[in-house]
Amino acid sequence: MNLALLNNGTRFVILILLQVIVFNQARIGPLGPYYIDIIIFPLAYLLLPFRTPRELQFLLAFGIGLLVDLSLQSPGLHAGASVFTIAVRPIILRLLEPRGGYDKLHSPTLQRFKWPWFVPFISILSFVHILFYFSMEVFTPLYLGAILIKTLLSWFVSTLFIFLIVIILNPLD
Amino acid sequence: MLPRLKVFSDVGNLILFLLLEGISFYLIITFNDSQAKIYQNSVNVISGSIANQASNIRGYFSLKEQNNILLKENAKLKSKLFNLAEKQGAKPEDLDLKVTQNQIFNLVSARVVNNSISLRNNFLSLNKGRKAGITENQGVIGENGVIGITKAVNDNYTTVMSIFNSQTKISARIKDKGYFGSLVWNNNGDVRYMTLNDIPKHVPIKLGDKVETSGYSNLFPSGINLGKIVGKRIPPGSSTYELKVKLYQDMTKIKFAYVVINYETPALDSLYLQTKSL
Repeated sequence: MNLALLNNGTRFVILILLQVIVFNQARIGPLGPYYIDIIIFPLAYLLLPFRTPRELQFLLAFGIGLLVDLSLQSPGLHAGASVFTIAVRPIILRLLEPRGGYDKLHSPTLQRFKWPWFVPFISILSFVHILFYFSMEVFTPLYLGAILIKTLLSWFVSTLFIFLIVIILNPLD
Repeated sequence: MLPRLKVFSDVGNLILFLLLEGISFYLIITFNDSQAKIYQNSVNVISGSIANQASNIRGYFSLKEQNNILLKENAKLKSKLFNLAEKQGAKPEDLDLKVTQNQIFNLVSARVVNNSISLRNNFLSLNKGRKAGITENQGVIGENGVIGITKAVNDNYTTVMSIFNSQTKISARIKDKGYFGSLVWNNNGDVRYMTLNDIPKHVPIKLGDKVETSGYSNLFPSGINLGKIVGKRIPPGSSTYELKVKLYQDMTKIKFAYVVINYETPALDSLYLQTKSL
């Protein structure tokens, strides 16, 4: 338990710092009218252990989203996206459920589940986060095309960076 | 027992989820400029069309009263026309009323679909917008006086800053005397009276003197009757009057309004800008 707390705590701190200090400054572009934002912090709340109480999951996701928002001066955008994504996580977990089910004590880490499980898990949920984020950023369905292009570009690059971070840091339970 | 607990915890999570999303949404539309603008505009469109429907229905109940008001206004205009014809010695239909060459004002009639009078800063909505030629910063008058100034316009609706708004100032003068000041509302919640400021204290003012628009602001034509003076007072240490004006217009009952389009505004504005840059 204490180990999980320590692991997740460190993960939150490292990923917030990475996001705020490195990736928020490293906007790629412009590509025509678009920029690519690299959004890697969702990894922090996506890796929360299965046994984490739902309320705590929501609050942690909201909190980390808000912290990143404050550094980007976009209050509410990442917070809303994080809460939405953590709400979707159980649905994706059920879709990807292995034959033996999940062990309550584990976290959805690469070390536990290997690439064939881990890649769709992260890709789908980071897509949800980034789609929600850009929908709220553009804030009008009139520019659906712009939302989708921004989402796809940022999602592709962000997900690659998330996998890179996972390989380098190799997060544990 | 257990299933019940589970339902409770599921509902609790749902509430927490909705609460957090609600907070996020509130933050988004409060602290992000572009999102806030889009949100306000959408609310304007939606509430405008809802209010329009409601007003359509309510309109039937006051048809008779509205008819009477319009008849009276019509009669007033007709009598003016006849008097004018008498003066020119012609039949009313032969009168030369063509003013297209030098037309300064044009009125666009609209229905009031939403009206507030109980707030500190009150607004109204009209069911016409840009498509009818309305733009921001135009005067809005009713049949017995001034209603407000247009503030935000989209294609089909207009939001009007009411005269009962702390930001509204109407340039007004005392009829037949010519002294002018600004008419404001002092937020006291009483929508029968407004206050006329800036009239110098050496001017002889009688209770019952009439107040009309001065025409200096180019929002409103001059000479629209606004109300009469029912109280005067010189605040200690001040060199100007504070005059209490009882309005002719009952803002609680207005159903129709006219937006004043002033064709001289662009020319006057550019002149004003030139003066400012001197």
